[in-house]
Amino acid sequence: MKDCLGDVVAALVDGELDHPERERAQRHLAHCESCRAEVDGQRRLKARLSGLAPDVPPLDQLLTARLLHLSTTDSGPRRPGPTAPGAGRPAGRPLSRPVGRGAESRRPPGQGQRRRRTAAGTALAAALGLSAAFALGSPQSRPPSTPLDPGADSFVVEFVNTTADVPTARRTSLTNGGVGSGR
Amino acid sequence: MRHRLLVVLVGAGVVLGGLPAAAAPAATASTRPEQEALGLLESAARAGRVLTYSGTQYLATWRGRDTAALVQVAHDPVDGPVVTPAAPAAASDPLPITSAATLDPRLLGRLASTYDLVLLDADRCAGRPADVVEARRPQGAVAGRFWVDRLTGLLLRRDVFDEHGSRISSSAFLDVEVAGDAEAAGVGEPAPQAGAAGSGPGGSPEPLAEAASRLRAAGWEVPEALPLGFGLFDTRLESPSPGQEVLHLAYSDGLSTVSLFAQPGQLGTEPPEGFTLESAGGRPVWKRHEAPERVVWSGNGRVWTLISDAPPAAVRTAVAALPRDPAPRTDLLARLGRGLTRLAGMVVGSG
Repeated sequence: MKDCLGDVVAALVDGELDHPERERAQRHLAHCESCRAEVDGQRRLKARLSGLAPDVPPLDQLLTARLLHLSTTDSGPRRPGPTAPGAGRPAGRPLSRPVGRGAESRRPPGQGQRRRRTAAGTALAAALGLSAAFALGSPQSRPPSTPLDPGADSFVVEFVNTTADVPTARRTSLTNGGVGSGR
Repeated sequence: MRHRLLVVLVGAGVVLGGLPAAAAPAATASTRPEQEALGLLESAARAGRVLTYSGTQYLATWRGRDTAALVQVAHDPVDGPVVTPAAPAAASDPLPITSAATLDPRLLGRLASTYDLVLLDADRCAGRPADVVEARRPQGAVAGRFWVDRLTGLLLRRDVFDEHGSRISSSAFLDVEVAGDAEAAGVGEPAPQAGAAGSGPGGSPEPLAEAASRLRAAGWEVPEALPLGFGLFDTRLESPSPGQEVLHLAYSDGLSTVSLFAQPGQLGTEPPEGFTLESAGGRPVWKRHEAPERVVWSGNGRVWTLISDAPPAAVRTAVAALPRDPAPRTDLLARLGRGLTRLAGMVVGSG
């Protein structure tokens, strides 16, 4: 139904709507069974979570749940308007509340949170990318790519052959010779 | 036997290495024309090819790590020279310098154009009377000295000096026997003045100028000369593997040789064993100082390897004159830019 509450359900459950918005939401609930079910479900969940407050899920579970929630809902800014019945905000509470009143307070709750999540994810990806670029950008990290080892002794053999004006096959025997050293 | 050879080696080193440049035979340059000195060297180049001889040679260098060796040399005009190490044996090290008795006729013209040739008073070498030719720098300092057997024309000893007049290499017969008659062998005939040739695509000799032009047309950088009188005298293009080529350019001033190898690619991360990472003109190079000196760097999309028995100053000047990549910027933005480029390359390459 195109006038369904959507994200406003969570704000309603949390008591975050101002008076006119709350009245509009309640008028809608009077004739919309699906939104009533949504509000009812969220209220029950809220009550249950409140009762289980000491048993907060481990952080990684919370994070997983939030990421899963992001993956299903974070397709852009949402408006409280047209949302398919039942496709609105799932049971999770907003992670923080909008600040301010008036126009700002009419922003669907959780939108700023999503933006912060998106920004954090972007920053994390940028940090990882820059770290990789920093490591790869070292002047000393170039891989060699030459047909022959530039320090190879075969070059010295060529050099010796060139200096002697002697056929290579004969001269090569020189390079197997002994050289003492010492000062 | 080994001890006796070592004693000889050390003794020869003391005699040759301890001989200061100033102790050379007196010069009579004012009365002996340079052409006569050059003629002696041309005869020596020919004698080294046409005579049959054998003997013991002392080879030594005094630069970086001092090196010395005794070798037995046997030569006949048909099979050429056979050189056998006498002492000590270190099979992994190539002999650093050219053996005495070997004089490249292609380089005599270069020698005469780079240096002033003068005849010194007669001397003795390997128990034989010898004429002595000295190559002098334009300012008069000694650069090289040759002892030529007065009886056969064979080159008995060759010394090379750095720009300070210090001897940096010497090769000399300690004893030598020459078979046959030098005159009958044609030692006195003019030495072939080979116009320095390169190897053509099919391995056939090719005039140097044509070889250089062909290589330049193919995109190779082929300097005609390096600083301090080193001129191009040989080019060789090798294919170590299909589709990959390594160019060998040989330069000489008549006394020393600079071999320059160019191959497409990039310099790797770590210098090979025996090399140190150094800076030349603010740009990174790999160096190995012991003779022959080796310097490796990258420039214009190629990796260059320079190998030379020339004095260190000549090597430094040559490296400075050849293409080199600018030193990599080390600031943060440059590093990140390089990294992002390589990262993109990896992503594209794996896609």
